[in-house]
Amino acid sequence: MSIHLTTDLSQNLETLRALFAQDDTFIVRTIQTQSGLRCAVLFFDGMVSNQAINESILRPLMQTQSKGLTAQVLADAIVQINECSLAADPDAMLSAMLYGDTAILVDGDSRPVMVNTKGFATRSPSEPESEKVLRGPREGFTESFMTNLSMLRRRVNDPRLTFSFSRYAGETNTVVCVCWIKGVTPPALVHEMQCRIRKMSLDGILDSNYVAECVRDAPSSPFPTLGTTERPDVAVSRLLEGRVVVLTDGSPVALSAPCILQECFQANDDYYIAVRQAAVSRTLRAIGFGLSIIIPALYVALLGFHQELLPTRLLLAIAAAQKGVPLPVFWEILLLLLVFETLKEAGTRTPSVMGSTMSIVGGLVLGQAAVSARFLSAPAVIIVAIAAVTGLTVPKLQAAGLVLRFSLLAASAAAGLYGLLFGLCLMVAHLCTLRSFDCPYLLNLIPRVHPDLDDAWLRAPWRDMPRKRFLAQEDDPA
Amino acid sequence: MKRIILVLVPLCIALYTGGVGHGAGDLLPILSASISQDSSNTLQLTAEAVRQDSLEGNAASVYLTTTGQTLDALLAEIEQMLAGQMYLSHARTIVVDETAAKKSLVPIIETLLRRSDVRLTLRIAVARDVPADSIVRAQAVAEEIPGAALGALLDAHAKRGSLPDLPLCRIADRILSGTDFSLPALTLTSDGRVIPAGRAQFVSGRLTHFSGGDRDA
Repeated sequence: MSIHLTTDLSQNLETLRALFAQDDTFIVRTIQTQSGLRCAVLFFDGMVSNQAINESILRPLMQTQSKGLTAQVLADAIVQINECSLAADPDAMLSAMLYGDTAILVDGDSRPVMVNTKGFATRSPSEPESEKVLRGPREGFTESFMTNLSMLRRRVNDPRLTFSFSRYAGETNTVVCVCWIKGVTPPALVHEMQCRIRKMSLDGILDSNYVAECVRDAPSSPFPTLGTTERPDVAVSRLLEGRVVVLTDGSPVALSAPCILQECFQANDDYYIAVRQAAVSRTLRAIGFGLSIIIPALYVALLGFHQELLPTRLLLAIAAAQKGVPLPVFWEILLLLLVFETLKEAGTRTPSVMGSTMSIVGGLVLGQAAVSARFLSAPAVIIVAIAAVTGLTVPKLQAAGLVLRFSLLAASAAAGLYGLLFGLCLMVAHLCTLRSFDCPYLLNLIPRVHPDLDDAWLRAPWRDMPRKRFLAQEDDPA
Repeated sequence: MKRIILVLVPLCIALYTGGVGHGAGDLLPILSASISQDSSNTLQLTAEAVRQDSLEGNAASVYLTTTGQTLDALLAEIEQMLAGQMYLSHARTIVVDETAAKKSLVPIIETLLRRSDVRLTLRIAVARDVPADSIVRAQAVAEEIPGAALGALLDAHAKRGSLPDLPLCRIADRILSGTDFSLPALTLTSDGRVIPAGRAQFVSGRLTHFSGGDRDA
């Protein structure tokens, strides 16, 4: 979409009308100043603030009596708005217009004046559903790009905070912003992120996940190698740790890099509540994740291959519960896990008013009926329920948990505890090879980085914990 | 293609093997057993198998008896009687009578050690003045499973030091090193309860005499 503008206003308008011939939101308002000069105000309906156009553009233009009006004079002296400049070229003019700016064309001047009149509807900041806290800030990012940047700027009152925009040249022309703090974030990290964003090859970007999948390391790994957050306080915290944050226009999710494993077990509350309470919570999360991936596999391994490890009474109780159940233990657990995942998926897509009904039908009625009908055994339901509940303790590792749960289950069904241990060894080996933007994924475990140990598995009190900048290179500002 | 193979191969293995593995009800746990021997050297094995049919009900003991010349043959015969597979991992006690203790303890120990499902913590006791299977069949006081009660009794006395603490692994060690040892002796009270009855003294793997204990206690 490339056009050429001339000094003839009528011709320019004809060109633009032809370009947007079938777009009814394209508005052209031609006016004549008191000195007789013809101007045209062009914008897209619904994207602009009508008040700003009426009061800051149309009124001054109609009231001006100056002769020899040029685009430069218009921008400098007539238009009464905070952001106004000449467009570098017609393409830039079109991009800005499509994003809510208003263009002013003057007869006799080919340069368009661009005025910031963005006025499209946006959602107000609210607490993100996926990252709720008991204590602490409740503000979340929105789909509005500049609002998100302002939330970061408001928290980091430092001139070194840098926002670098890249307009992604796909169909959506989406702006992607790389944020970092000069002197805190290693320049190589910023450069690497910018390079990866430039190399993306997509038709368009509708959410930050489009960017995440293109720029992340080890895209086939179930473990997240790029951090995500919907909270500005978390994004700022990561900036202070020397990471880069990437914001995408239209998405409330900020990306951060590098991402390390321990980050997945941290919650926002950890830093806003008492140290001991945070330590307990974090420990429970780690144990919960471990249980959620291991428990179904361990149950299958013990019952299928190592019944001698079960106490006699427990074995007898399980055997009694399994009397009449037609499926082997592995198939029973596999089926239940699939049912649980299906219920979870359905619950996610179900309107909230129907959610409780579905929970009762799916969780209670179905489970109870299946056990009563001897279709499934009660211990299997308990095992899957434990795995399901503990799996929810670490939301950032839900994808990894899902893959690992099924993989370890298959491994233990094939070779009992040996299979389970083999699967766990493979998982640890995979974790050891993972890197996120050249940073080891198991940082603080392998290798151990002294300044960051205070917040590795358990958090130290704030007074004993200097701001960790595990990637910082103070002497080499970006 | 490589990824598909990487996913499909383990999945196929799991689907195949997952259907083959045991269920909790496939194995029939044996909790205790008695071995007695007559004058013609014929061995008699009585095994207490346990099963539980419902979560609400209690576990029930089933006694299986067979005779033969070797313990291997007896175990094989017992296995043929069962619907499920005999499983000795949960066995806690084997009671031998005086004749078997005098003539066949070493072959019995050797046979038990050869089986991978026998725990090395299995305890062996000698029935004193009563048939070995009567000890195994005796009603338990506090436990509904006699075999479990017998195991708990021997464990408790071993912990207190009133009976020898000599599980299977230590007996094997004594026999291999040619050391004399003693095993717990058990007998029945007049009302049919199992009680300790001193120690059965072994020299060169053969029962020589009993010491201590009060038959009428």
